[in-house]
Amino acid sequence: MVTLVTSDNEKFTADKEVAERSVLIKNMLEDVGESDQPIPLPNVSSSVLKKVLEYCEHHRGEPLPAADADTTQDDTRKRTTDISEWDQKFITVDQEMLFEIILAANYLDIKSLLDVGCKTVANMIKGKTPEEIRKLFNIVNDFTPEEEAQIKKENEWAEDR
Amino acid sequence: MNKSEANSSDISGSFPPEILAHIFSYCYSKSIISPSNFTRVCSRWRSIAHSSPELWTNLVVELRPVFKSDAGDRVVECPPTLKSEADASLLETLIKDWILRSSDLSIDLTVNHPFHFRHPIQRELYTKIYKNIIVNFSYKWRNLLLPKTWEGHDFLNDLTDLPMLEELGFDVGDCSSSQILFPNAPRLYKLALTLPKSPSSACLDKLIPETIVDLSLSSAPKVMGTYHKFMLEFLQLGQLQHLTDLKLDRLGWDEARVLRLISLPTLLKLSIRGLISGLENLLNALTLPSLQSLSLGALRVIEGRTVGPALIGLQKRSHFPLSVLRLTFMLEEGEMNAIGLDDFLRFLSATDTINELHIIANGHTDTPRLMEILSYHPEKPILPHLKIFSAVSLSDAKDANCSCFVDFLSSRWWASDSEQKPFEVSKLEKFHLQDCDPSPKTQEYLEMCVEEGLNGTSLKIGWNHRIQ
Repeated sequence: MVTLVTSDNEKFTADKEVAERSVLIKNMLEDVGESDQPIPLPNVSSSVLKKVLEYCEHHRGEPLPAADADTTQDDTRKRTTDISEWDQKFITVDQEMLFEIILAANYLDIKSLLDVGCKTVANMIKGKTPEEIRKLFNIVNDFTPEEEAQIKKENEWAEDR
Repeated sequence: MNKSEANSSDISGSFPPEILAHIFSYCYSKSIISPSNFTRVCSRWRSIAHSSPELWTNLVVELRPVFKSDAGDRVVECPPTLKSEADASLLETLIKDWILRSSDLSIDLTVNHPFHFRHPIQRELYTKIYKNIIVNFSYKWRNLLLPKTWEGHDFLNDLTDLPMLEELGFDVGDCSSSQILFPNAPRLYKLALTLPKSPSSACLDKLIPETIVDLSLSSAPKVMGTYHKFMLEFLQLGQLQHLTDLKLDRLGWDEARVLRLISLPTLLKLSIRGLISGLENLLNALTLPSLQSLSLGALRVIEGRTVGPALIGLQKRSHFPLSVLRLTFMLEEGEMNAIGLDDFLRFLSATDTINELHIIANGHTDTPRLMEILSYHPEKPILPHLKIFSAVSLSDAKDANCSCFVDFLSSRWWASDSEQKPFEVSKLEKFHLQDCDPSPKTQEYLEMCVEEGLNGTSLKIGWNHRIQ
């Protein structure tokens, strides 16, 4: 078993096999060798780690992606936003939790979870106007006049023709 | 708005650029007409998108009406048209900016453009832009698919090197010259040529480099094919000896002709769609010892001509290890008949390596007889390795009690893996009927199979009714 300590000082225990779905934790365990020392995760809160461990537990035993998987040009061209049924239910959370899970997956280096989170956000972006996206994510339109002019030029080509 | 879309403060601002780029990689646009929406949200998103080369490696310039979904309704989005040099200059700048953002990655460029709908001035403007772009960025192209109505061969002499090019598709047009200098394209392996007319063999010889292993030839829509003389010359090209994939679409000629015998020793996959007379001629001429996948499609049947004996002859000469067979409008009855069911049975009896069979019909097939042939009988085993079967527009509904699909299924699938294999036959893994009209008995059986949860276990069943 592995003990993990969150940013809010809560301790979680997990099977080594489950915890090692995180490449970060796997590497840390390899570095320290056999030890009962708890592993500090200062960038992950307890509520988020609970979700992350739920994901890792469900996918226990599945093959881990290769370190360089999905980084080639070919993979980028073929990407889809399909998400499995269980993953879809798992990731149906409020926006703040969704973003925290993505940040945690990135920090802990859990590629499959990062993909699920990013696909979910991509699905939220798809088909929306820039204004709808700003509203959805509370983003301020901060374009410089030069950028506004460039965007206008692109739009002029696309519209009213 | 669902739960995950609830509004909150912008914590996407805390995402490092690589996460945002990763998100964008799942929802980027390939179209010059409608650039990715995320580039127009805020300065940071735009800057991250513009500095992520992988988002700019696939460019489609679709200059014809495209359908765009808008709030559930389908609306037509009109294509931009060039009215002046200023418009042309703007389009060229936008395309160049796109290409430069891809940094050192190669690009797939697809140009869809029906020139014949355009005014000559626009045609000239567009041609100038594309030639500039294609020639100036010749080192960038990985896939280059040019308009089917634009004679693309005439730009080849302007290019010397296409170092990254792997796939090329263009219209050969009115090409009779042997003065073509095909650019140096060492990685090019896939070539798709549209042939509105029969080009000379000298022209084709120049247009098909030795590196090609995957070749497609198709006629322009609504033009019924190339001449027999063209095929006679084409089959003698030395380049064909290296092919693994060959697709011939809409080719054929009416007259009964004899082509010279030719062996294509490395060909794994052959797809031919055309007039029956052309199909018959080709199958009689070819020897294909390595063939693994064969797709035949009839465009028009000529009375008194069938393909069956030619298909049997091809198998006898080749002894190929065929694993996939796809037939489109080949097994119809009466005047539409391209392969008689007796010939089909003879062919299958001699080809026991097939594990995938796909039949696309147009409602005139003798379905009970066909399915009886395809069912497994231990005393006259046929298709012993069949694992995947699909059919389109087959119907057994004329006889409400017909059970031909059920008999087929029960001869090739059994319920439990733990039981001893009842027959010396592979177990069916996928059975799919599309736009078919199954009899009530068949429907009842298929529904029972689905209800009992067979789907997703050892047998995947899919079926839907014909849309009336």
